[in-house]
Amino acid sequence: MKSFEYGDGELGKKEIMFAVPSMVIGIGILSLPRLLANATNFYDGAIALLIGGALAILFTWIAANLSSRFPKKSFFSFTPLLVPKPIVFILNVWLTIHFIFFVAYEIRAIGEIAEQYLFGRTPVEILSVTFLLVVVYSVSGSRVGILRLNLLFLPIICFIAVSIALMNITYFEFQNLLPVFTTDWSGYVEGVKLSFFSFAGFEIVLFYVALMNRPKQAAKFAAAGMGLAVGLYLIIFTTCIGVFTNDTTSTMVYPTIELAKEVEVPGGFFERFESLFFTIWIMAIFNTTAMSLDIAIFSMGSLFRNMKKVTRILIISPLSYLICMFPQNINEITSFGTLISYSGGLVTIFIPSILLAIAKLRGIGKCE
Amino acid sequence: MSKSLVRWLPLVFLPFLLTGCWDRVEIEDRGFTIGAAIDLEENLGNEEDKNEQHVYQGTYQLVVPGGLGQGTGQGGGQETAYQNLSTVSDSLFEQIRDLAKETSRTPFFAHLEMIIVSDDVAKVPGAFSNIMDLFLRDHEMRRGVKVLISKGNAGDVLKVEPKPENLPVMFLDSIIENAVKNPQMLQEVRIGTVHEYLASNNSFVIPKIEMNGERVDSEGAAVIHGHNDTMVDFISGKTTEGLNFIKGDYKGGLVKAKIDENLVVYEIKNAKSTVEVNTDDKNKIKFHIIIQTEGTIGESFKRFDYTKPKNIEKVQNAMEDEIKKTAETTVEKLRDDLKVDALGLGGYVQRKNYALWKMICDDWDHGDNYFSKSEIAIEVNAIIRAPGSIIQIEK
Repeated sequence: MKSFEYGDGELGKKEIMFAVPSMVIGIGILSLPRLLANATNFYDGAIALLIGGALAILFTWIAANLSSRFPKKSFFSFTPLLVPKPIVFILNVWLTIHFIFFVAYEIRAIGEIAEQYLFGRTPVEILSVTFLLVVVYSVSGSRVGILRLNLLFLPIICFIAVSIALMNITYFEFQNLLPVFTTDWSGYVEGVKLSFFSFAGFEIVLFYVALMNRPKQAAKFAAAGMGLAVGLYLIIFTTCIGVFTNDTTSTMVYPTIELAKEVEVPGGFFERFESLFFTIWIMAIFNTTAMSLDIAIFSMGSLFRNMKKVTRILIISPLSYLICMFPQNINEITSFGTLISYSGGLVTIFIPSILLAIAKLRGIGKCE
Repeated sequence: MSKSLVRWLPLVFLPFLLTGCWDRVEIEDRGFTIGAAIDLEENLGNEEDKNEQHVYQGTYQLVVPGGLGQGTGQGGGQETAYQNLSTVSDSLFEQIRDLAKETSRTPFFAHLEMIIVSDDVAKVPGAFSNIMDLFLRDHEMRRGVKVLISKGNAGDVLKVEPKPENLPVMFLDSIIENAVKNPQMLQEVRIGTVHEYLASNNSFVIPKIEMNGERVDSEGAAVIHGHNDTMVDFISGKTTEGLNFIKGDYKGGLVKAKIDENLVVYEIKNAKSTVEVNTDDKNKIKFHIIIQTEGTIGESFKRFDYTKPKNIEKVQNAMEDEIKKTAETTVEKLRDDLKVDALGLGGYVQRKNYALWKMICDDWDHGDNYFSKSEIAIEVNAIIRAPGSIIQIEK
């Protein structure tokens, strides 16, 4: 039987599988190699990355599993069945604010990086607002449309990430990865923490599984999607350490961009590979931002039930634009991002696990 | 009424977007800078002053597209395809901005190919890494830019007669790539690699370039000490050859040896090196370097029947002795004379015994200098795969 029919506003398993990595791959992948290289010695960051990734996969599975127990019910319609109303309200407010901040962070970061590498004189404010307008346009339409766009963009993003790794093979030195296991425990803990939070964003499954026509498969495919993101991060990190060495990686602001700048393709147009990389990477940020804005709008809708979608968009977009202009420099933007990751981490670790435990104990919701 | 007004409102704002792109630069207005040469202009402040300021002279080579692509015709070939501009400042960034005052085209560095630093600059403590800073920090710069150290004035190198190319930088660029054929030259060093060396505090080597009258001399290399990133000395072409053998960077070349007073040339097609390290005694770390080469007989003045294994072996032994001699000269120069580990042997200790390395890394080729106390044994294994097209020229 066909599990998905286009135009019916429902999601199949593939959409969920692609949504998770599309959400996760964003700003974080640019600086994660540096953070990991700082916390660990040589290639030991890969172990931290794998452990952090495994945890992320586990929690994605939990979150998706929770949602799939309540088919066609969104997060805010099934939580009242499990916990008292005031807690639901707090959660709702928290998540709305969380996603508004998430949007703010993404549009500021993309404006900042685009200004640094692509446009010298165009002000960040203009770059951010232009990007925001495109995102607003995309979320004004059907929700499912955004998720289908992931299907189109993600393969291209993966292709570029893998080709960056392959094109750097000439500069890859295996001995840069050695010696192994020299990091102390605190370094690994820090590394696992960093990697786990860099995978934040998979809380979207709480919202999007509701749109699935066969939610039973959600957990498996969402976790597989997360696996894809972990694999991609591992490729980028390995290439960074192999090409740059650990010491050098930890001195670069965005090692992943430097990786793209290291590549030299003979013959004119592609000599500057980073321009291609930026184009594709902006697609990745676009997906992330569009989904966050969509959820912020949706989440706000549960707070103000009678408000029209257009009104919510018109409230949230200027608000996140104002918030995004608060940080004054790149360090403040980074700490802003860290804050959001922590908030996202809390959302993804505790809430789904606790709710799932309650649901299991009370036997509420069954995936058939 | 009000609803239709709202609908038309965006149209009022749209014209603002038509004011154009902030960052539009026509390609005709770009001054493609392909080479930079940094010399020491003067020393401000007295020698004892710790905060002494160095002023650099930067020479930048810009492409003049009109001089390019004149085809095969001889007419109108007078115009040079490049323009060299010099500015003086203690900040390279200021130098680059000063260029704009002198040229009609805005300097554009995304296609920079080469940075030449004079030995005077490289010998000033900290100056070399200070100069690299801009080229790594600026977003326009790429990590594939080649770095060279010139013996004598660096700006003069950019004035070399580029025949048969159009641009001196492209001419030098092609020369560096010839290192594949000539082992007395060092493989190209990219600024990305320099960044790795600087970040790791390891000592390293950078290809040398020198103007010898009208000719360019690119044999040899400059040795840079890792602990303060300052140039120590140049090493000769022969020493560079040994270094290439030891580091496994030897891409191809020839070795000459005398067999019974007759010259035999061994053409090396392929060479690699393996390093074993014994860290039992930190005051006498033992390295065992095995160099393995493969190749053919390139030229033989000795009338030999190369179908006889005995003769092949004789030549192999002679070649092994030659290569060993070359490599040992390099070890003597670097370990006993300069006491700088430009061979990257520290990395082997680091990978073999990380705990020990943590203890001695600050004193590796500095201070206590464990490197100079180390024992380096070289073993060469030269293999002759074929005698070439003929066995011997006369019977």
